[in-house]
Amino acid sequence: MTDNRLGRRHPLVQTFYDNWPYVLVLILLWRFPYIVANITHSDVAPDSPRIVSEAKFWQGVMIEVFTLGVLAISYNLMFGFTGLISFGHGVFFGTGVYSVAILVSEYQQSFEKSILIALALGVIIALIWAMAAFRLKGVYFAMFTLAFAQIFYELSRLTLFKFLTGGDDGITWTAPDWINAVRNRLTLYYVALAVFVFAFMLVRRLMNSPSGKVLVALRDNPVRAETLGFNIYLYRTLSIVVSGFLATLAGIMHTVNFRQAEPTTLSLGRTVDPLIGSLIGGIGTNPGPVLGASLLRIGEQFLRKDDLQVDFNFIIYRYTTTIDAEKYWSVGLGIAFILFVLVVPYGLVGSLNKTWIEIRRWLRKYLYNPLIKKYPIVATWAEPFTGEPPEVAKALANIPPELDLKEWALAYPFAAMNSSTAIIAVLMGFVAWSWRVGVSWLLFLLLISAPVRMVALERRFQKRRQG
Amino acid sequence: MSEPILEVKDIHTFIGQFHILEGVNVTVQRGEITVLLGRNGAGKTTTLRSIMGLANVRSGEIRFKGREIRQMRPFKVARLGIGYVPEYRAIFRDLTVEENLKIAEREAGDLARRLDFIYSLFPDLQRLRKLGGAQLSGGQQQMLAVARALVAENELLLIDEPSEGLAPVIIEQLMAAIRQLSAHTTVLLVEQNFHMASQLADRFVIIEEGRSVLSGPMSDLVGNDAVISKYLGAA
Amino acid sequence: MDTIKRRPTFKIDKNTLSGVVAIGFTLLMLVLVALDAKDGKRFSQIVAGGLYQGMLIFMVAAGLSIVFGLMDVLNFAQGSLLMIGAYVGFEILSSLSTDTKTNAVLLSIHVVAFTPIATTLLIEIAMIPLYRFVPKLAEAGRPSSHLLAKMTASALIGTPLGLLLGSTVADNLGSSADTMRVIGAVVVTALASVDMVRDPLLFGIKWFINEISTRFQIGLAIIQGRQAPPIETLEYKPSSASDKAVLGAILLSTFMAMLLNTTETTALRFGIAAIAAVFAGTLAGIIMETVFIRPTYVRPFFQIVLTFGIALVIREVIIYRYGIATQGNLTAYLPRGLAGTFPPHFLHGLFPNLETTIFNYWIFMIIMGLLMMVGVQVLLMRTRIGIIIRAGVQDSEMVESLGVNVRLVFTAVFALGAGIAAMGGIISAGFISVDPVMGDLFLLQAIAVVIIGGLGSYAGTSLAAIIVGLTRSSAGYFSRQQFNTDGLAPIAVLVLLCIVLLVKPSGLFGKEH
Repeated sequence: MTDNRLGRRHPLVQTFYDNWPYVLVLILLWRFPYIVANITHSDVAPDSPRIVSEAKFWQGVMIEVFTLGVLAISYNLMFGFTGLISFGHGVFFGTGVYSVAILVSEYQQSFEKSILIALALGVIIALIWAMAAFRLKGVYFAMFTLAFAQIFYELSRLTLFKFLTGGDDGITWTAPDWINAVRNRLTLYYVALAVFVFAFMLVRRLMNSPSGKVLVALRDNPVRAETLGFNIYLYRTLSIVVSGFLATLAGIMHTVNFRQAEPTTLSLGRTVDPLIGSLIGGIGTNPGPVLGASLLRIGEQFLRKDDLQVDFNFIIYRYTTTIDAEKYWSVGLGIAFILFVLVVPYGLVGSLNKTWIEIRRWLRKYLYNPLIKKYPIVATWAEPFTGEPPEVAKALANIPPELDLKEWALAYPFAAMNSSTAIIAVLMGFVAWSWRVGVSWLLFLLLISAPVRMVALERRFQKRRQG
Repeated sequence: MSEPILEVKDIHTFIGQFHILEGVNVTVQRGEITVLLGRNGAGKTTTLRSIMGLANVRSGEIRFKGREIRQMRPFKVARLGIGYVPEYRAIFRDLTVEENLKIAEREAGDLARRLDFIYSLFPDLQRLRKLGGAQLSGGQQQMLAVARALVAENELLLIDEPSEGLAPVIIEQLMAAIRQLSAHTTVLLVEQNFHMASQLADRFVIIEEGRSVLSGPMSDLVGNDAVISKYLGAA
Repeated sequence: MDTIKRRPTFKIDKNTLSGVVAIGFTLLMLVLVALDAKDGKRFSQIVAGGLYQGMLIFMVAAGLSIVFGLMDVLNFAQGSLLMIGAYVGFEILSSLSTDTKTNAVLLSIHVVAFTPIATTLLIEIAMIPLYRFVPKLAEAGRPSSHLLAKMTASALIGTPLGLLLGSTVADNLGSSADTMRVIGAVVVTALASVDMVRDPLLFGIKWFINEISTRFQIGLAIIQGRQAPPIETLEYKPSSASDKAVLGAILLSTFMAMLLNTTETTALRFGIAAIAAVFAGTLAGIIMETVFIRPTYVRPFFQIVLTFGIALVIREVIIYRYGIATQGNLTAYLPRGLAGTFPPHFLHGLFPNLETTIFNYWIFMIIMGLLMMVGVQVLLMRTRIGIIIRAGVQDSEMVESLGVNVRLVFTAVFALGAGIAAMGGIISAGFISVDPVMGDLFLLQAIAVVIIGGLGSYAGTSLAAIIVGLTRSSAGYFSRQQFNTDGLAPIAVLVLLCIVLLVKPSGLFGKEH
């Protein structure tokens, strides 16, 4: 979120500055099962597989969120970043689901081997798509993906292949114990988290690389990209293959979680979910689709939990009705979909990015500048938010540039810890609902952030000596 | 004679993010032929498109018969009595000549009333009336494009580069037609061909880099080689 | 001067070739089926089944094709419009009364509204040869049906809405349902007519009569060899003859309603339901175009997604209202008193003369589809709006600068496509099973048709619809014969679509971009 390209920080520090929101979220997700257990006073991993405690239930929800998140990341790579409209992501998802289920249950292959074969199949299908993308553009490619996926959907439902796919009923299989969602959900949670983080980092790394820039250029102006000498087909292939790979991975996550394969995993719905997620979060942004997808899944869960009591007394005398929230969910989802396309076309993250500069300008003028006039030290704390290198911050805060920051640090103990660590500590304490946890987090983070901070300071002094 | 039918005052037009017209003033007197001159990319076509309402005019004033038409939609502008003959002879290729004319009708019967006049101007079209637009030659297409603007009774014609890419013989024919036309209607012409412009026009406006820099009666310009070479390149 | 007339030369271009290949493919398929079936009855059943499927798909594909050609919008909600047609038709059908007296009133409301427009259409059709031989008549202009359309529209909104309103009120108050229905229909029709009451010309009927008499007078003058009077002096001058005609029209329509009511009401019920369905579809189309799609013309990337979202909403609303289960065709839903009234009696049973397994209703669907096909073709080729549409496909900006309100034409075309789809919906509801996902299935087939035919090519769409229908039925036949399953029919169409996309992406008759 912050633009620190001007900064003269140590790469490690810079990496942290660039990613602090993600690190924050990651730490939250890492501790999530325990936080929920703490809040709801339930077991993280109940002894008997038959007991589904509150914590275990929410672990399951989060595994679904990660699955949908990976699918949304994959979808966004093709639709948002490369501009290839796909209506057939279900085919990758379903390939992941059905390959693993069939290989494990019908052919008694090992779980790991099945996963590898499923991923290979996903990549092969992606290569077929890429070949189609040689010839087809825009709407035509979209229609091809639709038809392609729909063929597989119909095939999976055929009674002809019932011996293999189970027809409309699907297949039920058993995942190995260590990753079984019933017996060992906590492990599955962390595996899913790892896969999710891997997918996120992969696409983020790809989009920050030169190839990623070419992909975006391809989306915005394919003709120009081609005249600049880029092999647009190669880059499209790259995008489709990575996207297909990730969607297959999502399918595998899904089938491991539910231990079954059914035709709906191949259907158009598997495109709709990530599409809506991407739209709500923000197409063409990194965190957007994930945010949108998780909002969808978690929101749905909250709505499903209880019915809404709606009181129309103010309109009609003694008219109170219970609305089945689940029934409304899909309708509301579609309406939100349309509204987002019409009103917030860049999604939450996209729109926020667009207004972020304005917000920052406003904050600086009315909040930050008056504040640092009074308390100059704030300038150094606020670094990651303002996006200013320490030199600029010092100038803004009227701190003499020759002043040693170490002295400041000693004078103000809090300065030794940068602001993001402080926020993480406070937030963690808040979320865990206990000040003891908060304080222990604070100390822990101080400890782990100290070396980073020291390196950064050291580097600054070296710079000053040179300059 | 000296009543202005169209007044364009200091318009600023944008195409996307690009500021194309940065203050163009054009006044067209009723009954005259006014020509817009200037180099390629100076903004002549954009001026015509701005008048028609096809371009994004952010500020300035465009008055037709004293009425502000800047924010109007193109079809309303056209219905006030402005005919537009765009660049590159934008006739409808999938339609026959007759249908091409028919589409310009504003009320039923327009075409029937004007058909004789149109065929007298362009006798070729009568012969070709059943042919598809794609089967016409460049000159015939241009004639059809002009004829199409004549179907409704327009008081002002905007003609964009009629001579572009046509053989000299055809250009002569077209010039004759336009001259004949100007007895009935006012014409605002965009023309690269200075020879043609000087023979047809009563008045000129020179547009240079999105600004109108010089205007006056055509007689001022003819023979004024210094101005011609400065704004229009070689005469 | 180039005086040489250019004649179109006959040579086999890519489009002709692909058309020949496509037709050849269909013929081959049929021959295979015929060889396999070895039975005339079964063969004719397969062909007829294919044709009716093709026609139903065509009704969705027609709008898709024209709208894409004109506005570059691939409307993913076209299938949902079909569903709207089916379900609205059913709603109206089930809220119609079983009582003859009530029906008489309702029907007369409808018929009164329809007499003028039907007469206009009839006269228009009758005038076509006349226009050709007496060009002056054509020059004088045709009766435009602006006011008529307004009037018909108000009755069309009024009656179904009033029916629903009346039923709802009756349900809640527990009073006589039929009385309420009639009162509702009359009141809402009157309300909907408020706009027209402001028109001084007696709801436009008088105006319409004047139009006719104008034309009559011109025709008379031409026949007698006189100079035809100018239009200006003729139009909008009421005469005693026209007043009589107005009265006559009203009486006639009431009489027709009574007559039809006493003899065979099921056909009229179906008619009312179909009209309401078409109207609802058209209205939905207008709303979709003006509210949702119009703001996104500048962002083509989002249109496809947007219409997709609209389809989702419509589907979910229908699921919310009717539940997700497939329950056969809508006949099953009808109230007890109305059971067996839909489809109309004369469409029940098998096609009598052939003693085959062809249902009468198939023939009906095929005829309706062909009517639509030809009707739209005539509209495109012969009328002014058709010219505008064809021109707009190439360059809508130029059409607009000729003084045509292109946005209005866009809306009209969208509404037309929506209306045809809704028509397909109510027609299909009489035979095939209606469920909330039928929109998606039809959309998929229609997309296949539009792409196989060539995006934006209407003739291609028509032909491809028949090809796809026959492919479906023969593939279905083979899959039943060989594998004892029905599932191969949609797969065959999808495979065909994939092949066409990969071999000739622009479709059989589309232009290469």
